[in-house]
Amino acid sequence: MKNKLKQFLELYFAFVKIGAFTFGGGLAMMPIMQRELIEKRGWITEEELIDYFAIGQSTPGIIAVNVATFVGYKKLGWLGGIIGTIGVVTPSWVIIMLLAGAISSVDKYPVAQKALKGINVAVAALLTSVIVKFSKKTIKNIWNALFMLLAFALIYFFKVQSVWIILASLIIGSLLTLYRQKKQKTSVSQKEGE
Amino acid sequence: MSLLQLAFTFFYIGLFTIGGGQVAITLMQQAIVSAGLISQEQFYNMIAISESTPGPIGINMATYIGYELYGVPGALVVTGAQVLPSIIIILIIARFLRSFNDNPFVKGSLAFLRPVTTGLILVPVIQVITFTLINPPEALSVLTTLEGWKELFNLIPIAGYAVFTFLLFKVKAHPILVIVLGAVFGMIFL
Repeated sequence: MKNKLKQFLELYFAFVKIGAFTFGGGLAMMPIMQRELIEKRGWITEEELIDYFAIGQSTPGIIAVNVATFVGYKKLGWLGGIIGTIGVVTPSWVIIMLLAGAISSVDKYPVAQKALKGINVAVAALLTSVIVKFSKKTIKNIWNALFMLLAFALIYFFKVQSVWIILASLIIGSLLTLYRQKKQKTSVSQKEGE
Repeated sequence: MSLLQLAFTFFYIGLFTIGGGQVAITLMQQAIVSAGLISQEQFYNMIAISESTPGPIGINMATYIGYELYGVPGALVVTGAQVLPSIIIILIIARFLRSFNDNPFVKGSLAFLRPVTTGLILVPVIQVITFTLINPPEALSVLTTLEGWKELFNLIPIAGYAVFTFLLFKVKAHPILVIVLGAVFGMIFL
């Protein structure tokens, strides 16, 4: 019982930490999640984080929250999913409520704006490390590379919504599995026939 | 609009936010500014503050709007209402994934999806890198002069980017440390 409580607290504070150092969109938290959830705690694998991100992109809600719910659920069931989510939004609650009364406009704080510009540069470096790590894990042959570039081009140049690309990929992936299974069966029955 | 109505509005916003916080902000603008609850100018101000403070921007905005209209209870209720649809949907999907973990179709489709996801993530990565490190020229003809090329690259941010990348890859620095260093770097050099 006490042990369980400790696990919930650890989950909660891991996500408080992740939420507190996310600036802008949810992608900026990927490197912190990699470090805190995969490397340090081993709660999830790199593949799982990639899957959660893709599912989060194509389902309602903010990516950061979706990943927190997934990880919390995997670790400690549905209550874990809720606790992880509360953890990730806690810094927003505290900081916005403290600041909302005090600040009327960011224009009055040039130092903060400079800091933010610097954080953007740091985030650019962090995102570079994310893409390198993900590529190492997911790009294993020429086909993987081709599909990665195709997805990138469809969004970047042709402004296709990512949700359609994800749904199409899931369908193609299932069809390929079906095809492979059929092929295997026919090769087995051919051998039996010989 | 009562707090209960506001909660329903944000539940709806949460349900129709597909693809991240920017979509949520567009929906909030439609629901809140158009209803005359918050002025356009104040709304833009709130976006600027939400972008500059820690936390995912969509959550910061929801908290801010709730706090502005109904104080502390507003902040908690509105943010809760906004994340509720995604918590429910993700818990259902997570349960499904757990039950069908070994299903060859689930495995096969996710395996096919992974490199595609890397391509999806590459889009905002390229956008952030070009946004922070490069000044897009107004006309390509500028690039025929040496001055034009000098203008193209933001040299100080590029130097910072090089140092941070080195720290991440070679020193294995913690991402949080790199963000803190980024803030200090910005205050001194930018």
